Amino acid sequence: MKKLKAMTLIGFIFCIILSFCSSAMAFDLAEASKPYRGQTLSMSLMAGYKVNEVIPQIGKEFTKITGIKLKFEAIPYSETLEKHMIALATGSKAYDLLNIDNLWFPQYVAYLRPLDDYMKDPKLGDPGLDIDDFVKEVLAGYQWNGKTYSFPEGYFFPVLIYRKDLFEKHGLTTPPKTYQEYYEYAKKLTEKEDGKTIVYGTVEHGQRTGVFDELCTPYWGKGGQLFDKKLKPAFNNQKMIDVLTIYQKLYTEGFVPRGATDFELGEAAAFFAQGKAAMMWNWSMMGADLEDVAKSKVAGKVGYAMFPKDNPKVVHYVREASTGLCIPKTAQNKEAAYLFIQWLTSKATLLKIEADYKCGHPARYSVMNNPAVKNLFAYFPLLEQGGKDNAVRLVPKIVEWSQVDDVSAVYFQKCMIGQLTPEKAVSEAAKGVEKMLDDKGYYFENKDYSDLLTGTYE
Amino acid sequence: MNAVTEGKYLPWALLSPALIIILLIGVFPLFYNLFLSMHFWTLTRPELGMRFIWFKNYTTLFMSSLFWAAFLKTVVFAVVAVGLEMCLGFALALLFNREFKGKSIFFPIILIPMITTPIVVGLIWRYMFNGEFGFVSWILQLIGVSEYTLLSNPITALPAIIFVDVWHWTPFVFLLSLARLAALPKSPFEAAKIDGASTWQTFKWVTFPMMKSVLLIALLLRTMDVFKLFDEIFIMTQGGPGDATELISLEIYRQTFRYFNMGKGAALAIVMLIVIIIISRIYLRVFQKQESVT
Repeated sequence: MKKLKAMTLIGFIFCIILSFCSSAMAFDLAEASKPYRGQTLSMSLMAGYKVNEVIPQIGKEFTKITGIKLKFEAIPYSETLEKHMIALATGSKAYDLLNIDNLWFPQYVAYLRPLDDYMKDPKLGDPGLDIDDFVKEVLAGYQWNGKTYSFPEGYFFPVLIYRKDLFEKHGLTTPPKTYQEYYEYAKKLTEKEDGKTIVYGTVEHGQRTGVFDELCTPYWGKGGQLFDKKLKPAFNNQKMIDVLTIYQKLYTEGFVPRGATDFELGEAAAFFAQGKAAMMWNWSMMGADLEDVAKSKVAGKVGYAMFPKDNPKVVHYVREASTGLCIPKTAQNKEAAYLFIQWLTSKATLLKIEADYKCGHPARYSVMNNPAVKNLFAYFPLLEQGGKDNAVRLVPKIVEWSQVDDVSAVYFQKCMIGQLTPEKAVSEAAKGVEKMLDDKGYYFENKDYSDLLTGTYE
Repeated sequence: MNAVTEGKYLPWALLSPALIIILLIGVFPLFYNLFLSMHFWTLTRPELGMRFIWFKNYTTLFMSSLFWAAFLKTVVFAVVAVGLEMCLGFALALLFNREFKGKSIFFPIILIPMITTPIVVGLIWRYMFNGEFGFVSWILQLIGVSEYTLLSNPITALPAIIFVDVWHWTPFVFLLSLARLAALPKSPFEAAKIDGASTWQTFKWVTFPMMKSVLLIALLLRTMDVFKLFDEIFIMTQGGPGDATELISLEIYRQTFRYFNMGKGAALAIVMLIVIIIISRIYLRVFQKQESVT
């Protein structure tokens, strides 16, 4: 009996010590931020992302806890890269935090400060950060040579967005499974009245900044790769020609609005929201606005599915996208900036952002699965599925990715409107990209590049 | 300080603030641009640094078919747009130089495009030309034009932008011409009337020769502006569809602020500067020749 009492007492003491230790280990933001109280963080945010509209509001809580003030500058998306790069290249100390689209991350990386030592620093790093809770590929979008430069605030990828009511009307019971089927559905769903099209089968992102992105999904869905090991373009093949053939037919046969050459994600979504299209390839986050009755005529009628892929064996086939805050090497308040990134992307803050502001692009699994958020938008299960099934992938992490995209887009756009044949467009685009990369010196040493740089996924 | 020394240095002292500003904002950037144009410098790869490469940026440009295509389109754009602006602007000025009913109402209306910023002009016309809900597209559909999405068609995109430029800048030529017309001396016209000159003869031998100087200024300014035209095209088409509206100014922007090839961008800007200087010299020479003949 005595022994039992002693054991119970020891157990009790052990529990007290354990709970004391765990509470001592719990991260205290107010305590961690004490040395930086009174500092002002200057941050540049990309306009157009919901989360960036929320940051100035929710940031007040951070200031309240830490005494660190926040100063914001919103830059239109199209001007962000040039403005940031000029500031970084000239050694400007104007920003402590830069909001970066992870598509452009490789272009910035030489000017950024990694976060790894802060993460390990007991005075700054929150042990409860749990970076495994982020979608792996999304976090990888902000990693370079094994170092982490940001934690994502949002996560999205292209999905098939379609009108459930129109599918039902035309007797279509399931979303298309292949790109060819996507074309046939578009043909079937196009509605005409007195010779005038009133509902288009689909919309395309024909603008120069959107076309290549859109083509990549069905191309990757066929198992295509963009580059070989030597970083020479590998898309001059039948797979890309087949994709472009359908893309061109959709436009030239009138299943896509004529003005689609001028469409990017926003314009395409606005067109769809007007009830003028039956399907579209678009970023998942667009669903947040499409389900908003104040902005959309089709709210409640929209279905979401993974975009069709031709090869069922292919795993990674949709490009993930994200935004995150990074610290420039020239930042004046680096530690305070890290505390802000850590706080903003913590489970609690990201959950609050989704639950209270309905941004529609949770980057953490714990947020997607939280009961307060889980049923907010019908496409959330796809985000989880995309992450867990490894469907998402990164674009080749080369500094010149934007240029690759831009050089190719000229020919793909010409093909879309019927000015070039798919064969010619693919061949010219590949030649243009190879010439550009050759000018940049990528082929001088005839070396093999990593899969990360070539964007290769098995 | 004696009077001689004061006379020698005072003008320089008085001019120095203006000279310093000109050196800082005009001369220094020009020489720095020239310096950059002979270097390889990519902002996105700072580890490679800035490397002197002589004229490689220029040779690469001249060997690029995209550069020549953009150059040709810029020349076509300049000839057509500026030509139309000159003719229409001058014709309108001649019309407004007379008295007619409603003149005071139409005069400010004509000037509205000129006082609108290029970005707003680009946005207005982008939506006007929009294939789905644009006013122009709607009108074209009403009258049975099948190619109603002007900005989506490589054949009609450049003419559509020329139209916008003409709409935007004809008032400028109009205003300059009208100001000069109003200031012309009366006596040559009275002499022509006494000599029995017809309206056409008066225009040909009296009005037009006296207008040449102001027309040349308008021509010069508009030509230079067209070479620099960027905002409207960028907003309306981004150079597309394909490269149908990709002018030199857009290519400069793309190389410099999209690809961050600072050397190439600088070389393109220098080429454009040389072209503008050549054109200006030609204009001035033609004008001076005609002045000496008259």
